[in-house]
Amino acid sequence: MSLLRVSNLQTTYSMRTTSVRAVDDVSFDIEAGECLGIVGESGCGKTTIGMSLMRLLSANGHITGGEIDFDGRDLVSISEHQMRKVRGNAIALVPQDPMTSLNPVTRIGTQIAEGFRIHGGSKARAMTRALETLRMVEMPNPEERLRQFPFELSGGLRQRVMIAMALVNEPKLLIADEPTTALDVTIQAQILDVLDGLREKLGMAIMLITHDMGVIAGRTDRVVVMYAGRKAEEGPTTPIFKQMRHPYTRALLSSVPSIDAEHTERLLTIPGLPPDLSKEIVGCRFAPRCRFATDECTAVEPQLGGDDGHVYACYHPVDGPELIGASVAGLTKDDDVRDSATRESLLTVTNLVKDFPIKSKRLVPGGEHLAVSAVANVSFEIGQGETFGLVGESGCGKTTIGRLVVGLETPTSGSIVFAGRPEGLSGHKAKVADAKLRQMMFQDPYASLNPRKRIRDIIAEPLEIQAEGTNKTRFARVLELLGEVGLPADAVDRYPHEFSGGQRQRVGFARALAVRPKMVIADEPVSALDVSIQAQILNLMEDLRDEHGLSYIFISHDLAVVRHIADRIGVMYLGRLVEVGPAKQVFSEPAHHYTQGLLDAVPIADPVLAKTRKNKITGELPSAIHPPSGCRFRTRCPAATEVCAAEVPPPSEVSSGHIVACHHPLRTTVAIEATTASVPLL
Amino acid sequence: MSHVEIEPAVSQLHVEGTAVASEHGTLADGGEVRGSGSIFIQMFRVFMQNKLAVGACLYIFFVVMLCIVVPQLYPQHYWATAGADYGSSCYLPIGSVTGNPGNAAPNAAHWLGCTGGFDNVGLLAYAGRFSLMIGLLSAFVTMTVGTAYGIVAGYRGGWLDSVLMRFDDVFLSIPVLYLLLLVITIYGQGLWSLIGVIGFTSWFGVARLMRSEAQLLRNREYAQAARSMGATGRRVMWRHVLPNAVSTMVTAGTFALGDAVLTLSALGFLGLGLRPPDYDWGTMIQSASSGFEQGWWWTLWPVAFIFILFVLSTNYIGDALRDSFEVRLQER
Repeated sequence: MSLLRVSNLQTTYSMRTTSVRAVDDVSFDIEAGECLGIVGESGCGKTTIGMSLMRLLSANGHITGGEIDFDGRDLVSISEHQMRKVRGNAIALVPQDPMTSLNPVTRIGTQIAEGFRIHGGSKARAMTRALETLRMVEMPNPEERLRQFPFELSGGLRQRVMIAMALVNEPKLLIADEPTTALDVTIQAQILDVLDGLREKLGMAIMLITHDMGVIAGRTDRVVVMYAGRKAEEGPTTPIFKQMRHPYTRALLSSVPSIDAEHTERLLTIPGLPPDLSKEIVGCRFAPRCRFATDECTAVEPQLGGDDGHVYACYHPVDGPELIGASVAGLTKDDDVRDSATRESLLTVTNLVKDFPIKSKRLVPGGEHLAVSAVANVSFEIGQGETFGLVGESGCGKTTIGRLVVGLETPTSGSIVFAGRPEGLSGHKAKVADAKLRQMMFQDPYASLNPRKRIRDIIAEPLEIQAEGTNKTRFARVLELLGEVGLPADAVDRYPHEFSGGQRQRVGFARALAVRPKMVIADEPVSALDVSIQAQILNLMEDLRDEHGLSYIFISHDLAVVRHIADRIGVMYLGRLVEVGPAKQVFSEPAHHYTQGLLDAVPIADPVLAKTRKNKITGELPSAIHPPSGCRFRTRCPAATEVCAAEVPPPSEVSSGHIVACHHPLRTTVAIEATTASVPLL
Repeated sequence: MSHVEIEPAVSQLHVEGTAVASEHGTLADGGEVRGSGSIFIQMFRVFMQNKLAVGACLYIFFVVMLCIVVPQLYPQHYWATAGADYGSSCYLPIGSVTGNPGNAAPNAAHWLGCTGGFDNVGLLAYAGRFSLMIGLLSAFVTMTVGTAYGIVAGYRGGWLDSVLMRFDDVFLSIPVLYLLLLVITIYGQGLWSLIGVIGFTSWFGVARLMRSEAQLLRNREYAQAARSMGATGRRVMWRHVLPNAVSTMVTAGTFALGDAVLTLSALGFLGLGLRPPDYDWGTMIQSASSGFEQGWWWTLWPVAFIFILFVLSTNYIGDALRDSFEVRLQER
């Protein structure tokens, strides 16, 4: 008898005019102490499954069929009163966003104890229990935390509190819905380790809901792959990754860029978008996007079949992952062609500093003038047609650098110089001249497009600002751009909300290209998108880069994506550039302990490899108001010594163009003159 | 949940039809875009879903028609304040009341009864003309001044914002009624002066609202995107901030209309409203309040009813308009 048996679950959301069957006829089991992963793209119904189990669906959502048998009780039919006794007691939930899931005006201890008290725990024991659970989640200084408020804690620590809250009644099943999506990789690895340890210690079952194949790979026993409200495939983790049968599972895996890729192949994408669930769907739901689809697929929906334990719904099952290099010849691009040594310089950033002043206590005489040191003495150079990847965790200053380069912020000191910019301009004219050379592509494609403007006006705006051409020529250019980014011409009269996320990012890209800039600054351009869509956008960016000889500054927290697209990479930590070099070398032979730690923390979509890796970076990002002296990474560095606290590490060269700023680098280095013109400065 | 934009079958066809950089067969194609028609039709659709607001619209239409049509149809002496006709049926004795001052109860000839020798239907419509006109024009003044003031303060920020807003604070801290009394004593109780007075004493709140809206919108990513392209402040303000503030403006505008009619009535009740021969609902209520003590209920109820419903209606319409400007709701 399994702990949880979900049979033929069906959950429907009623909309204004239609209803959407978000989960349709889904069955699965979870054994006691097991970790089941549920993976799929947004809108596939994975979160709805979790919410159905908790019976916490939004007001318009209803379980319209099926049974949820938990520990001998049917959770669908029991009364709300009985369900309340299950919630937070036998089944507990860890939500996605730790920043908004804690009550800001209540102390941590009280919040954790609340769940204990609700389910009949005594007041006398409540605080002791809260402390116990905080210890369980390996919270640093747990006694102190009990008295603190949520705003005093970082995101990672808050997620630990959320887990502690879920654990307070020792649940039999823990539902973790994207528990690490809002966190940085090093913190993500820490949280996943905590969850792993707890499962062993307490023997509870975990249902891990995520979109990230990497997170699933190392931590789960079994995996359910969801597509458009249906279960596409289910099986033990290793076979799902190594011998998957459903084409969707395979496509999902091959569209994720790999961090260890020898070649930077073109990504394989899944064409199109998931189907509209408010309409009746005939046949296999994946058929319109599947290259193996036949008439049979579009006529009758395939039933789940397969060996015991590994089931899939497909008429034409595949056998294991795509052999990229062999099966699709000519897709590999040559790294040598994209050699950066011979490029002419396009952008030179020298000793860039940006401090954001915090309001000083002006009423108090002698009050301190505080500032957040967002960018501290950063220098780099980007050549014509080169893609420079800027990576680092949130708060490292990579976004600020992007904003400084496009003129959305003014540097505190230092200079940003574009080659080819006309001399002697000032004020607004200089801004317009700069904008002609570089344009920006934003992270959130929805927020960055004015919802009250048509696409024609949105894409033509940079041209209008440059006062280029007439209305007629501008419109012609808009049509040309739409073609380049793969959107139909009739999109010109549409408004942004009529597009899907991926399409909106295409519009954003078209707008950035409108004035034929030399450089596009892309700030997390794909992190808001599903992996299959992400691959489409990345391929498009590569195609148009090669076609127009564009340069990119590609800012991302996702190392695999940066590895895929960038020629050269800069690794940032707390406002400092700690390592710069050719993408291949930085990833294969990292010289800085932080780079190494980042690489170790990235979840990889390979269950065998994932289990062998160990996260080395501990602790949290220090405050940028009082950054650590000397090397800013020393507080989290495994190799830190006294000299790291005393002196800022000077740049040294690992190999040509590969430069690191560390007192104890992982590779042998040669000291360099900080003023040598030919090498980028740190 | 369902942000799905294309028919799967259509997208497949489209894939073959578009000449995009897809030389490897992996698709650079973004797929079809679902069109959902003109933005106005979509807004109308959302608006129509709010039944209360549709009712409110019908009611306001009815009142406006009443005010336009009735004074044209009724004989002059039923509504014009030029002088009461003592021969009219309003002066017919009712019950045992002697010395009837023209306050006949509702009857077949006068559906809503009479007040002071005038038919209530005609009076309501005649007074409504003034109330609505003053309400509309002063709401316009309120919105124009308040929006311009608020957007400039919010968008420019810095010292200008501080100065403008402290000025605003000063006026917000004076009770509006005192302000009204003061200004009316100076400028008199004429039609145009009332419009100006009500308009210029009610924009302080609107300015606050629009300022916070502008502060929010100026930091939206699309405004930043425009700035990163080298757009001037004026361009961002006109092209990006103002069009997106329209929903707030329209909503605030309908509330301002209701408020203006309300303020006018309050003035009328205090005897500071229009002077005869001009007439408005507030003055009507004021003159009815004495008759109410005599048991002449019909002198107050019709005007109170029509007036309260009017102010309520503007609020319902404001709510529905706010919804219909919300782009996300148009998708469903």
